[in-house]
Amino acid sequence: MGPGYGESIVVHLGQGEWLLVDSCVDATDNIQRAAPLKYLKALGVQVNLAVKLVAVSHWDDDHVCGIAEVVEACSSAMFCCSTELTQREFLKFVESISDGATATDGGNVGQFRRVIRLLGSRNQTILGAKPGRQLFKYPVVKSWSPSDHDAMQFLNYVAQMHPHAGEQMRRAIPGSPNETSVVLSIDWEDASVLLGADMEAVSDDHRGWGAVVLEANRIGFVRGGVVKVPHHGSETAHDPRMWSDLLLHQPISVIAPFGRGPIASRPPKSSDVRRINGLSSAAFLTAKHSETKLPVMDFAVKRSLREGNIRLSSQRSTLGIVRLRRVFGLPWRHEMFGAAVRAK
Amino acid sequence: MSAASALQIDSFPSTDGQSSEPLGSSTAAVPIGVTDQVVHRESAVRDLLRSLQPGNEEVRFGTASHSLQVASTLPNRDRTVESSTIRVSQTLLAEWNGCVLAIEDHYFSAALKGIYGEGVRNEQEDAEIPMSDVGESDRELLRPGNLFRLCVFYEIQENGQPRRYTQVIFRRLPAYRSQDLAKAAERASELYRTLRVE
Repeated sequence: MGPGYGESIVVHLGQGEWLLVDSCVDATDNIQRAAPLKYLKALGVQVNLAVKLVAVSHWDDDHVCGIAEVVEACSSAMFCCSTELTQREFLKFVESISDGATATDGGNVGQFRRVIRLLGSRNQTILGAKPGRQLFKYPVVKSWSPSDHDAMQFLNYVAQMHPHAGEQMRRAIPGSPNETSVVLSIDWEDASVLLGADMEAVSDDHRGWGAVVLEANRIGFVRGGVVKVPHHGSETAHDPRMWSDLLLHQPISVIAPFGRGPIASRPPKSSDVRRINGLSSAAFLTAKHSETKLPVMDFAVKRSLREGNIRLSSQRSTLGIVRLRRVFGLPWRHEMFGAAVRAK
Repeated sequence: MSAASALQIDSFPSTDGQSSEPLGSSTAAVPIGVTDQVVHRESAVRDLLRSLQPGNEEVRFGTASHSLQVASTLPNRDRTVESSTIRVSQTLLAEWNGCVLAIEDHYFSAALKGIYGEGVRNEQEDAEIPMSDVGESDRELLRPGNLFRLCVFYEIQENGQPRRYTQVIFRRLPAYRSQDLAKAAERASELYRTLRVE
């Protein structure tokens, strides 16, 4: 589902057990409840019992909105994130930047702080995602990243962001490098799915998709028939080896577009959608890019902004859901809700 | 909105030659016409507020002409303010709290939350703001995570001509202190010990 603001994936593992990957909020929902919880509750799922695994792909604003609410509600779920998010250096950063939270509102660093404290107080085991690590027994859920090189990049990023004495207090802007994303695969007996998170293509084969593909080929990988296209379908996340080595020919693709900022700069661009369509048997967008109207403002205000070359875009993009379901041995069936559209 | 909360406070110069005090954190209580750098508190304004009678139909706020009406009710010792007030009358039309997200070549992107104005209050928007809107003295504050206010003003200039303009005002928050950072590191170590990571 996406983008209200961000994206989230809800997977029925079977036997009434569920997996949640990331969290997002419906930007038009004034209460800003975590969208995956809302969805599961609408299905009548008891999230405290039925959700068995909650995974955070990476620490980025559009993937962790509402994650504290999710972890709080899914009290019996295992929690998985990249090991670096549990390192002392990152926790130090979270605690330090939170010092100014009263003045700066904290941003989503507060969400992560709540998650970590909650897991600590529950004495709950955190599964650190690594390439080739099995996170769930059946269906087999495996993580394929981040690579050690990318993990190092993340710690460098944290070091750069770390506040120093004498610096003005500021809000933390979640935005860890996309290559530190956790790519997941889910393998049922007769079907496999690849969840590409925000993983990017990098020229260095020890990083990004190159590292994922190398590791997958080394360990062995069940090719997916469905893919959550990485990083909103953007060109920077396109690595032909992901399509050739990790997926079946012409898989079903689902793209969660980025719903904020000026439309021209939001991924996917129309050229991205064409590229993905060409590689897929069917493709879906959780929402089509559309300019959400700004609220009616005083005419003088609108004119002043326009004359000052200040461009505003609303954060209230509508939530869309693409639902793919299948019965053992039969092909996937799709349903679309809200702003979701079929691209191919 | 009550008359008090809608009051426009213009840039009253100090009449006694003393330096005036920046308004700072009281912004939220008086949303119109208040900026850290532009508006200053003046005892004359307080006297003026006290002198205003509730329900006085002649005293309306929020347009350029109001400062004239307000000035005419000033006690004698504040008459000097009147002439100054006539010179430039400024009205806040809209105001947002902003947080810098990213810095590009010619603009910076920011997340905005509306705090005052029709169709602005409580709305959340993303913005691209030209770099040229950032004052020279604020350039060092242009950094992801730093906070600012974006204001749209309407004013009557000295020559009587109306003018609308936008202003980006960066906030100057307290600095991180080494002892607090040390305590944060301790908390982090404690938290780290409680985590069971496999």
